[in-house]
Amino acid sequence: MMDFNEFTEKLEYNLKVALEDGPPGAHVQKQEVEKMQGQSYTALTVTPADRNVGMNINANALYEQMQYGASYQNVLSHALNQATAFVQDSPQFDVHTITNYEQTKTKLFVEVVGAERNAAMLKKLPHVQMEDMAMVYRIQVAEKDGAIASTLISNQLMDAMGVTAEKLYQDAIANSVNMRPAKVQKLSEVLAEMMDVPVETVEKSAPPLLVVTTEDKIKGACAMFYPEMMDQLAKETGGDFFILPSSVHEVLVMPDKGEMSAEELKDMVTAINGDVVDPADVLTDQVYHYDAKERIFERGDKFEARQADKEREGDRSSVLQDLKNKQKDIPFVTRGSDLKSKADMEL
Amino acid sequence: MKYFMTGRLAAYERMMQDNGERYGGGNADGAKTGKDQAVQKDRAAHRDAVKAGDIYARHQS
Repeated sequence: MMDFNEFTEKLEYNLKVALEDGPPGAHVQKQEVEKMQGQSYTALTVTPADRNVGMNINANALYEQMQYGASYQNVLSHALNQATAFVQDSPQFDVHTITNYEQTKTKLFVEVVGAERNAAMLKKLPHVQMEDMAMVYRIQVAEKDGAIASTLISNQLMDAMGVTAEKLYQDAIANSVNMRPAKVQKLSEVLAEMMDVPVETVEKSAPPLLVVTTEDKIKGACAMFYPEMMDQLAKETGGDFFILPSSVHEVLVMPDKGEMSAEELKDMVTAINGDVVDPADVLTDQVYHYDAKERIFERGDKFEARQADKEREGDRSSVLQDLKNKQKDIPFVTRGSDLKSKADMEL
Repeated sequence: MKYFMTGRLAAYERMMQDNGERYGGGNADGAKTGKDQAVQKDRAAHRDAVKAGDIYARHQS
């Protein structure tokens, strides 16, 4: 079987032969496409001659199909079908309007990803970091049949738009609330919807978790950072709560009743991420906590360290208080002279 | 094997139940079959979405 380089070279050549000379003509170019969540790939970009928007054909995904047994002819045929459909019906899109901030700001929305696993990409993107998660910004550039096409805002694009990172954050989050409204539901309700059964069927077995996402349930974990959301969740859960980052699409909220530690929950998240969650969907291997009284959102381990500090502080002051109380019970130790008298007596 | 939303949520539900009755986790008979079917349906829907997205993912940088 040919290696990946041979495969992409052959594919590029065959696509060029098929598309570049025939009407309406298209330009084919091999390039590296950088994506979040470790989803970067080698693309064969097909751009119709009379358009400035191209289509990226994912060469890695096609090569994987060959590894699973597909023939080169099948793979080429699939790529050609995709490219031909695009060339014949490619959308008109004026890329220059994207730098016009007044026009694009109504199409801004936010997305939350893990900061560590996207560290290299984040160097090139304006973002806000919340613990080990990062909020990045996207512009919706097209929508068809409920599917959204969007582009990530890079530092370069932000500069071209002439907007500050702070303004971008404010506009993007305000717009997201309207464009991609939050949806908070009980876990039992979500499972019942998906299973298409009455909620009573699963209510007894489902733990009392809330699912926080957006209405379309796609890249909806960001909804946890919508304004007032944490306080709203505190009201619904009756106080402090843990946040389990089940994926970039949704998070789970669990009331903190003191029954499970942050470490236990973190282990649970790590195990499920490893066994069940697609790597493209993993948010983080952490657990977070919201202190409703202090209004602090923090990583679970930091919350527990802060609680331990508080308890130590509490123990210290209660020891001091105990000593003071004992001193009250022994009248002659409350003043230095009396203490001396007591010592004399004991001696 | 990787799952989508139903699979993720069902995994958390199961794991919470495995952690004993701290979260009231009994096990509803019959619910598992329904969940497995929902997981399969979810996977099929995702496959269709990815198929449809081939064309419309083209703008993504």
